[in-house]
Amino acid sequence: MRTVGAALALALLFAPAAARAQAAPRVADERVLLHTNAGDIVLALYPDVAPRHVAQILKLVRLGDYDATRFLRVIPGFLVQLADVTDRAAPLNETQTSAIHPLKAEFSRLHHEAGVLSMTRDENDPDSASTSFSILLGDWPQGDGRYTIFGRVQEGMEVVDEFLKVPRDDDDQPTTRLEVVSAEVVTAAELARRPLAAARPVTLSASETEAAERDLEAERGRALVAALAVMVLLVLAAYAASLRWPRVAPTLNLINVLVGVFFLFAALTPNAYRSRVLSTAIFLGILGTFKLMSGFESPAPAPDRKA
Amino acid sequence: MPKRSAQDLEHAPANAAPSADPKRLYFVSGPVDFLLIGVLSIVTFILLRIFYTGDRTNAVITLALQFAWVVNWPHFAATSYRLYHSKSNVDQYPMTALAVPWVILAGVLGCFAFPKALAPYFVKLVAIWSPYHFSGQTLGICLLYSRRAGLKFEKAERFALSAFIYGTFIAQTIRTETGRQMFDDSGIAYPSIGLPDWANTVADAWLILMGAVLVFLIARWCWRRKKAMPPIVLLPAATQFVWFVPGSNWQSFAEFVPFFHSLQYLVIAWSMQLREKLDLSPRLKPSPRYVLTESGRWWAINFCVGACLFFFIPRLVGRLFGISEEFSTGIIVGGVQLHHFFIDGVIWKLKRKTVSSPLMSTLSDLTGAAQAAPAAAVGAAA
Repeated sequence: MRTVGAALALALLFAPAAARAQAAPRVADERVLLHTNAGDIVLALYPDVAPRHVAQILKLVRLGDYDATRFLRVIPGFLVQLADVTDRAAPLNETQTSAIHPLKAEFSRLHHEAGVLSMTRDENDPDSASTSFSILLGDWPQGDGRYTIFGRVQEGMEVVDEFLKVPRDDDDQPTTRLEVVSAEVVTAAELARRPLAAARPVTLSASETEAAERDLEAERGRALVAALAVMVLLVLAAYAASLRWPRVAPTLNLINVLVGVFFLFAALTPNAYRSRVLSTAIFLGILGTFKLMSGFESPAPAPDRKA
Repeated sequence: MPKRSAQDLEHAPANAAPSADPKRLYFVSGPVDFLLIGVLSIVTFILLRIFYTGDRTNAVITLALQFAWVVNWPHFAATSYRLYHSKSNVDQYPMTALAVPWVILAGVLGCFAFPKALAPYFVKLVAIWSPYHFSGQTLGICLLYSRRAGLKFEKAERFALSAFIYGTFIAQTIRTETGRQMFDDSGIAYPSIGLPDWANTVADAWLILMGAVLVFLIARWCWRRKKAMPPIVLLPAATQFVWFVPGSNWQSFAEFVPFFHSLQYLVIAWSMQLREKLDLSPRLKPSPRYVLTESGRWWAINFCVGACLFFFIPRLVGRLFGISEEFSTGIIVGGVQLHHFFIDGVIWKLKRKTVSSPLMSTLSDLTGAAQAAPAAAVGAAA
């Protein structure tokens, strides 16, 4: 009996991640319909999971706070973030402003995954969420239990895909405004009768596209030049050192290898997921580099400080 | 301690030879060493697993941050202190002490200059290197205790132990890097490498195989010698398994893993610091008073340096140069960690008895409760 108990305890302790499987929360009958300049997005809300957040969002949508807002940040594979309503194009009226207040966190055991709606907040204050939220584009386990999940995208992820095609600046802000033209609350029954605007490309001027691409390419180019300069300097330093202090040269060469590996890592990782061979090679390369670095600067034989 | 130092244990000089004296097995005492080296981690995991949620709740994050001030950050500072407080150490490791900081500074400046092209991958490199570094320390502590226990691993046993410990790191890292995911550290988003799914299967199979081989070899070791291996020798490996395999799926526990790693480190670094100072200062005598005052002084220095490195400097740099404090913190903290990995990789090499002998010391030696021998003679005496 004791053996069975021990086995059960072990099974409990080492249960796999699959045990995290979760039941879908109840969805409110009211949906939020965002009319954006790339098409319509339908948001389903979880009133049992985050009642205060859901109530606030519904109230603000009804008051028109979310009209003329914009998606502030777009990071492929991660999220698109709707800006705070105070950032919107048209100023808020007194009623709209007075309805905004910080929300006490409503963390849950739900997981951050593609399509989830997660409230934005100040990293140092869990109770600081108010109006800005993100649509997750992939798994983000770091957010679990730290950010309030209050719903998911029911329809319109293809609209979000259109957002991803818009060029972005260094801060991941789209160079063309991704606007929520208007937002409204509709019931599930109303939604079934309403035709939704299909996803469409956000119109970009040719100059905007070119400028964004130019900026990114320019930064990569400058980084490459910097990398080459650092590596050449290290090679020169290793050469000079080998003439006077031969023991130092191998260590400088190791540093050079690390610098080179880092730049390769930075250059190849963004697209590594497209090729299994490349991603495996990057991983093995990193492991090999760590192993190599464990031979960094072996101690020189030296007399003891105290006999 | 990093892998490097662990490897060097086999090459320690003869007069730092293993001690078979059971009284010299522990740095402080059996219960304290067991607690700090692994039992605290494992018990915490069990308690969180049974009685608490697996989510990273606000309470968990807050508590882990408070621990960071008093343990995690001082542990980074302790490494720098050990290298830079003595000119002989700087002279012995000139590249690590004088060249590496400039290279890392160049990397940090590069991240500020190229926030999209370089910064995410700088942070990612640190994130992957960190558990590798944990593995090096785990192996080092296993071998250190084996040495204190007066036993020596054969080549196959050592290989299995090393493969198992690093296997936990590889399995955990592959789980994180499989498929297309995004991570966020201090507001710096970076992607997964995108490893294929089969890599998980290979890593898990390797870990299970090496675990089985290790258990077999340890059993064989015990059978041949007709005695049990002291559990403290294998405790660090078991602890790391809990950290990286079941523990990595339980986020409320995973938040504390760096704390437990730092705690292990501080025990060893503290013992080293006290012994070394005693040996280098003829006027100092072993006594409880010495242990208390030197421990307090050493920790206070590390606390202040840690707070500067992880809290004040990143914020100051952010404000001075108009960079967001979050971004500045992510990059500078990454740089500090990289520096730590480098220093740790060299300062614990035990080829010199000035390093290896103090690591054989015990609390009784330091308080004078035991017949405290000079460090250089500890191994020989034992």
